[in-house]
Amino acid sequence: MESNNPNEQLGGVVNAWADMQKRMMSDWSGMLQNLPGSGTEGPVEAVKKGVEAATKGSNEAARVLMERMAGSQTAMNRVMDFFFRSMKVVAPNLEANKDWRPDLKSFAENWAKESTAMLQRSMGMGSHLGALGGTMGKDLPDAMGPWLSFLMQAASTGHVGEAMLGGTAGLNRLLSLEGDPGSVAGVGQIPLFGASREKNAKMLRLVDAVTDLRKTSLTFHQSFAEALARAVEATMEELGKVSAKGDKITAVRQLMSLWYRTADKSLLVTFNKQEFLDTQNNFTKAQQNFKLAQRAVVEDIFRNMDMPTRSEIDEAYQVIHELKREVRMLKKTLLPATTTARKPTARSTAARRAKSE
Amino acid sequence: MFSFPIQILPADVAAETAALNAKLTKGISNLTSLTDDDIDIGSTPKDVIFEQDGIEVYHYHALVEQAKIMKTPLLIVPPLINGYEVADLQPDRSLVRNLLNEGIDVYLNNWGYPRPVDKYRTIDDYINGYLDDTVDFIRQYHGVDKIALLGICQGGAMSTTYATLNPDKISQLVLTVTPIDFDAYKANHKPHEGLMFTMGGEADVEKMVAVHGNVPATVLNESFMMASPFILNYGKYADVIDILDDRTALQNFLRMEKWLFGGPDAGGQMFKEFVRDFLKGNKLVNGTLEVGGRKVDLKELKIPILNIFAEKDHIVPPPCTVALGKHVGSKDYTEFAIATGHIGIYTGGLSQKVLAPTVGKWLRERSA
Repeated sequence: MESNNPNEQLGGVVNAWADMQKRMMSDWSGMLQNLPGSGTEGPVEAVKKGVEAATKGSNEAARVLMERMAGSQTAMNRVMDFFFRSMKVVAPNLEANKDWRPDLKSFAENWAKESTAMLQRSMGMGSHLGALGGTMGKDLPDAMGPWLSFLMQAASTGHVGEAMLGGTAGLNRLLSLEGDPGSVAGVGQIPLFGASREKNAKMLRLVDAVTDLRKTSLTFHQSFAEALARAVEATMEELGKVSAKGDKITAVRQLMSLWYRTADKSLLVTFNKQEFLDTQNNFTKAQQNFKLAQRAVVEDIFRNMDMPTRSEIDEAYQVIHELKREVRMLKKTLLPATTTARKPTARSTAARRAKSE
Repeated sequence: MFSFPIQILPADVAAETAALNAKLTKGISNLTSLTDDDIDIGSTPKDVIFEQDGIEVYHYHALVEQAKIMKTPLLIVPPLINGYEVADLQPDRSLVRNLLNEGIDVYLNNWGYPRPVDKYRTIDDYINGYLDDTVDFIRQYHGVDKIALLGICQGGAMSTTYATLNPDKISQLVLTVTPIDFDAYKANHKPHEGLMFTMGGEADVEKMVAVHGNVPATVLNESFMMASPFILNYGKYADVIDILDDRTALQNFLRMEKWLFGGPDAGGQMFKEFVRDFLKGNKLVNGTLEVGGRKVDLKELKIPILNIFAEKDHIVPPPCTVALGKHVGSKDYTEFAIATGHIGIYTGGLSQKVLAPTVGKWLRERSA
């Protein structure tokens, strides 16, 4: 039965959304029994696995589609959650015939703070460094191991800051160089050891880059949260227009569609603002700086292991490129174009793909 | 008082869910029965007649009798940052096929997928190197002095540059949704228009290329999807449920997805130069563009030009395209608008009826 009470209506909608998810999950679990590979995940995730198993790699497009649907469903739920929560703030004001904007503004501010706090928890310095260490330890265990072990041992009898700043006291003790100061005095000061200072400075720059990435990421997500709140405000205005026409929204997907369309329009206004563009660029630059700082550290390790670095490979690429260019120009000067032609063939021309670096 | 219009009742939800699940059941059956061959793109029959450094030149098989084929061949120049298949997505949505049906002898330059080793290729390499080699090859292969060019989006900007520098090799220039003046959208700016240009203008491309080498297609796709973040990222995949039970519609959807997400990375140096000189510097219209040490003066572009744009194009807004008319020296300059969007101009239903016939008629009127 229809209700004119916004609070009741909103409660009903939120319940309906939850019910819809539940029903789909329940119906799908029965439906999926005949598909291999399905488990107890969300419905789309389960279907994704089922489709993968059923097509056994013969249909890449279907697999990719299910992957995108699964990914978008998770993100969609978060977006809908934001929408419903904001609407719950608006509804009591509507019922009381009060202006809902101040409460929505306040909700958005709190939501941004909550999101920021959540991000801070998940993106704290400790977890960043942990993730960094994990990545390096996982991706480059052989390459990283000896160097990290050196750092740890060098610092084990001094303190970590000393080692990070290039101090060699710990290393000297480790190598028992202090045992016979007369014969090996000053070894720790020779250029070879001095180079470790440079390496450690690169590591510190990487730590700085992580800190900067964290800060700019939080600022960006805060800006985005504010943009979403403005999108809710725009959606309320659209609902007002629907109401003024005497129309009703009777389906969940109808509501989703209205929210998406209105939010997109509102977000585009934000995306064009210089303030948002600056925030986005700062975040992007911080990501890029992090990657470059990370590469500087990794390249040092590779050099120590006598492995080619990205910079060295790039130099080789550049030489190959220039040689190819010269050959092309020489051919053009010396040979008629037809001699370089392939004999026409009716072979399939399915596009070849090369993955990026 | 504001009457709250949301009236979603539990019974409606149950019915809605049941309907969705019915579609999904059929959809899963469709999805699992489709193979990669069912979702082929770029399938119009062709020969590879020239190949250089991973770049292939296609010559398409004629679809009309020889006597009806125009003497001047047409070379399609796709963008470097998207797959060529947008011009040949599927048999009933194919610019290539439609041009063949108009009696045009069609060639296409498939730029391919740049590998890490290709990251140092410059705009000069692409225009004065590979494109020039292709044009020379077709001229000899076909036995003609001049050929016609048809540029697609960024490929149009490259074709314009090439035709300006090589009036002795190009007889006619056809442009489709081509960015020429990258600032023109800023007057009377609407938020949904030119967002990629706005964001690209702000980006530190030097650093982007230093990090990535070749800029990944995913990065470019993300900036494309910023123009409609919720609909393109979520709404589209919620709506696809409606067509999952329709095998043909699903195949069409998957072909578009395959093209959209299967594009090439952008070659690093090329991308850097394109953003610096064309987008940020707007040098093509400022008259300051130099490629391979040669100045590109649009006033020297005097061959017949057909400039086709999409009225609803938010990626390359129409003002950025039609600005060409103010700068070229050609006395035979024609504009043609199609009521569609940036991709729809190649794949949309209306375009299938309008685009190729317009090009065919225009070329035939100027054909030797």
